[in-house]
Amino acid sequence: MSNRKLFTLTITVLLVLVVALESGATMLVRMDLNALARSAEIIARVRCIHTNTRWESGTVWTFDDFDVLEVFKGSASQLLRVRLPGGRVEHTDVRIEGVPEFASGEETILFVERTSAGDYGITSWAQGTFRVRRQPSGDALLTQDTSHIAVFDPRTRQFTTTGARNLPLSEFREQLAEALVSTDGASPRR
Amino acid sequence: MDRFRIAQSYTGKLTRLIISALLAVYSTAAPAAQAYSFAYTVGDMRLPSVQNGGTACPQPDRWNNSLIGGINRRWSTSLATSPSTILSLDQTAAGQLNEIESAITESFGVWTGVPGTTLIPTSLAAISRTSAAVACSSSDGLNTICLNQNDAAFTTGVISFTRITTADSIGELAVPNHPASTFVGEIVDADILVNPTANGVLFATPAALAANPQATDLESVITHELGHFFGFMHSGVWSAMMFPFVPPPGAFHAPRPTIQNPDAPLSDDDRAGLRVLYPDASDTTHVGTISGRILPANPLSLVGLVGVTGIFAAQVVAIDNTTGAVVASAQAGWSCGTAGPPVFNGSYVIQKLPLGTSQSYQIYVEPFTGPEDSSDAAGALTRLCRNGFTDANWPAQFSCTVPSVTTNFTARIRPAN
Repeated sequence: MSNRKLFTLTITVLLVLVVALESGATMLVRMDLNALARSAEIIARVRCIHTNTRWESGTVWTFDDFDVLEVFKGSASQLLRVRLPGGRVEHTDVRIEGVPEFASGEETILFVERTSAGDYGITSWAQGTFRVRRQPSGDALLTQDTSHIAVFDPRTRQFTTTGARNLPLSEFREQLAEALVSTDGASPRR
Repeated sequence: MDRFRIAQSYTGKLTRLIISALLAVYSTAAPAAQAYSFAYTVGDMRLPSVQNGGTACPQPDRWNNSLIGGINRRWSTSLATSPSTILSLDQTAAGQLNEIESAITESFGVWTGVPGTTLIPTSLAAISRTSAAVACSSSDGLNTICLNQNDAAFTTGVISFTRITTADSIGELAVPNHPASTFVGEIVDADILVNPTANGVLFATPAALAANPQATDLESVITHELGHFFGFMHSGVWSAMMFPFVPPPGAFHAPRPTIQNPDAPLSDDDRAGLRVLYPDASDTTHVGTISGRILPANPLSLVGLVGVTGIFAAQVVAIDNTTGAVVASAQAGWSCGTAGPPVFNGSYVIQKLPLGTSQSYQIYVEPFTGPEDSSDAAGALTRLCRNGFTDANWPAQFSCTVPSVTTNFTARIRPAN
C-alpha cells in the first residue's frame, strides 16, 4: 500500500465513525466528511476579515465576516457572515467550548448552514472548521478543530485522537469531491 | 528534535516524592494530551485596580460560593414528546419529571460531595422547576438546565452545550438575579442547553437505562456538564468525569453515586481540580504541592521566541506510585508575578496532592502536539492574555501574547535541587 493510500485510509477511518462525542462543554454527534458535506449549504475556503460581538436574544453572539476565497459547495457571495454563540461585550464574557474563534487574517475552510435565525452558522461548530496552515513551501495543511480531542492514558501509554490533522489541502479537495459526488451528485467548484 | 530538562522544586511537605522516567519521544503527528484544566479570565486593566483586582494575571472562572444557597439552579420541564427524547422507567408525566429531577439532583451532589472543598450542598439553592420552554438566557442570572432547546446556536450535529457567563471586573452587575461580582472570573450565569431531537439522540434516566441500551445515560451527561458549570474545562485523564467523551449507549460513567460516596463517579483528577477551584482552608490532607519549570537543555532553542523563557506548553501529570492512578495534573508553561501579566517561563504547579508518609508520586511530562497554534493546546490557553489587538486602549505594561506551543521535544530528568 502506498503512503498516499495509507494516509487516505487513515483519514477515512478517522472520519468515518458516527458516534456521540463531546467537544469542550459541548456534545457533538461525530460526523464524517460525507455527513458534513451533506449538511452544509456552503463549503468554502475563507479568510476572516472582521469580528463583531453583541447581545441578542438574551445572550452574546459573535458575528464573523469572511472573505470568500474558494467555494467547494453552494453559492456564496464574496462576503460570508457567520453567527456563533459567545464572546465578550464590555465586562461580560459568555464562553461556550467547542465554538471556534477566528482571528483577523486567519484562513479556514468552513462548512456552513442556515440557523434557525435565518443567517449562517458553522455545521457542528468545531467539526465543521478546518484551519489552514501555510508551509514555507506554500503548501497548505488542514487541521480540523475537533482534532484537539486527544488524550494520553498513563496506563497504556497510548494516545487517541479524532479529526483530520495536518491534512494536505490537495488531499482534502479530493476527499471532499468524492464526498460531494456520493452525497448529492454535486461537483466541486473551483 | 530538541531536548529539554525539567527542574523540580517542592513546596508543601511531600515526604517521599519520587521523580522517575519521563515520557519518551513523540512525533509531531501525535495528538495533544490534556488533563484537568480551568477556564480563565483576565481582569480589565483599563479600569481602576479596585475593579480589576490589581492584576493582569489570569484568574480561574468559578462561583462565589461564600453565601449559603448563593448558587441558584432550576430546570425546564419543557420536554420533547413526539418522540420522547428522555426515557424514564415511570411513564407517567409526573414520574418522568421526578426521575429527571432526581438525576439532576444526584449530578449536583456528585460535585458537592467531594471532601476538602468549600463547594458543599448548602452552597446551592434548592432546585426549582420552570415550565418555560425558552428559559436558558445568559442575561437573567438564573442557572437553568434546558432539555428541549432549539436555540439559534444549534447547528447540525450539536446536541448540547454549556454556556458560562463571567465578569472581568469587580462590582459588575452583569445580570439580574445575581449580586455584583466580587472577583475577576466570577461566574454570574450558567446554562446547560440540550437539543436531542434534531439528532435523534435518546437519553435515559438511571432507572431506565438498563431497559434502553440504545440510550445515553442522562446522569453521566449532566454530571459532566456540571463540571463545566463549576469552572472546569476538559481533562485528558481517561477515567475523569471531565474526559471529553460521553459513555457509549447503555453505559454510564461508573460507579454511580451513593449516599456514602456521593462523588463516586469522579476521578482523583476531578477532585484535585475542584479542591484547587474551591479550596477549603481546613483541609489538612490535600496540602502537597509539586512545582517546577520545564526548561530547554539548550537555551538557544528559545531564541526568537519573544518573551518565552521556558517550554510552553506541556502537560505535567502526577501519578500515585502505589496505585498507578493519576492523582492530579496541570498545564505547564506560565506563571504570574503579583501584577501580571503571565510570563511564559515553563512553570508548573500541581496542587492539592494528598500528603502521607507512604505517599509518593511519579511525574510525567508530555508535550502538546499539533499545528503551531496555541489554541491547539487547550481552550484555556488562548485566554491567558489580553492586549491592544484584543482590547482597544489596553495598557502596554499588562499586555502579553500567548506564544506558539512548543511540541517537538523529548523530556529527561534533572534531579531536584
